[in-house]
Amino acid sequence: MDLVRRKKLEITIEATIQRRVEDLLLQQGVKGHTVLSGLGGRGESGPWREDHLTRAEQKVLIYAVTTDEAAAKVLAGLKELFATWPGIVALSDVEVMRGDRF
Amino acid sequence: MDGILSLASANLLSPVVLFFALGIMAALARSDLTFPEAVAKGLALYLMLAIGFKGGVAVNEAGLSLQVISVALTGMAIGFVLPVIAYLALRRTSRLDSATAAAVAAHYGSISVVTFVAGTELLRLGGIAFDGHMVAVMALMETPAIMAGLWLASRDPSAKAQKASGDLLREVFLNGSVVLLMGAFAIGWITGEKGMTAIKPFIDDPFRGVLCLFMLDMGLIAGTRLRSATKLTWPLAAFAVYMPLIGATAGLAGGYAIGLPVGNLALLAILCASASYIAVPAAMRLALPQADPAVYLTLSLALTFPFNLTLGLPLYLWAAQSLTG
Repeated sequence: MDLVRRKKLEITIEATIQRRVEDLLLQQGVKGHTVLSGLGGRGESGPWREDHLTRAEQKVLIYAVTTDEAAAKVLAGLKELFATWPGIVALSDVEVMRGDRF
Repeated sequence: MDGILSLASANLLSPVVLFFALGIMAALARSDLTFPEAVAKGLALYLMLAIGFKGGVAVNEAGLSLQVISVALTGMAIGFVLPVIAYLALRRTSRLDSATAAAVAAHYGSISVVTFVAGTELLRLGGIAFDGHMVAVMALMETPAIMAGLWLASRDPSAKAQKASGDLLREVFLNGSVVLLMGAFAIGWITGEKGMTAIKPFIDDPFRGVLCLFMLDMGLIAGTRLRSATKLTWPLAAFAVYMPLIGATAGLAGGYAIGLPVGNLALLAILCASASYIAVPAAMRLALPQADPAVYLTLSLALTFPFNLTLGLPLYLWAAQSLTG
């Protein structure tokens, strides 16, 4: 099986800046991504639960596989966003099939 | 006085208030009672559609009076002023940082749709007439407070207020609840009685039942917030009670000055007393990310909303009746 090395980005952010992060991914050449909705968790400021009424504390996880170059550019953009809004990004090496798609 | 006491007790024992209390108690007792997100969203959409449509139909029947302009301008002006009072009160009495104080202030200058609906139910219970255009006034009063809150925060660089962006403007002016409320209002206005007859079995008959379900869900959310309210201090809890009283007083004074009839006067007071928890929180997360959502959501949703629902509404109605004789 032909596997290609790529980078996996897992970005946890507040739902309010989801659109900005999606725009960033598109601008930096990430060809695709998936958004997952968070149910609840705990962080630096304490526990949070999904609250469908206000959505003020709603978190989403954005998942993307991309090239080393695009991942580096996304990280630089996220650094700027994270100076203002809370967020977590994890970068890992993965192997994917059909590497030309990422 | 007897009349208002019996109205207050009828309000406390109404299904709407009792279902809210059930939700709070279930959450405090850590029951596993929850609403699926899609159901809760559906209930909120239904309520916005029904409230807007009914308001529009009422305007179609009664015609639009000049009063709507004066009451909208009064309400919006109060929406600008109340955050300033709230901000000063919070900075003097609590240890909140400027960003959180400005965000809380914006919530208290804006309005709560569900408090307004509960107010209209109380007016119906008391047989007091009000105008459908108050729905449009309510929608117009959602945003001025957001601007005031941002202005307050921008005066302190440490609050790190964000500049108005496309995202923020979209959140403020094209917020889903505002769009549906105003859209349904316009459709109700255009279609009038004919439109109402066509969809009455959907819009009118199940309204109170759906409102009870929504209140149960709100009670669950408010109870969950109360249970985890570790940042609540006595000055903040006191603020959540005296600020709606200040808001109601401003609404009564402004409404009395422009000669509103009792039903509309009570509704303006209710709008000024209520605090937002749908449109403003999302806007504040975008514009004031340094502000702590746990503080502003607990105050507006878990303290001020129950206070207004149980004691505030009959009190504001009594004050409106006393003023208008």
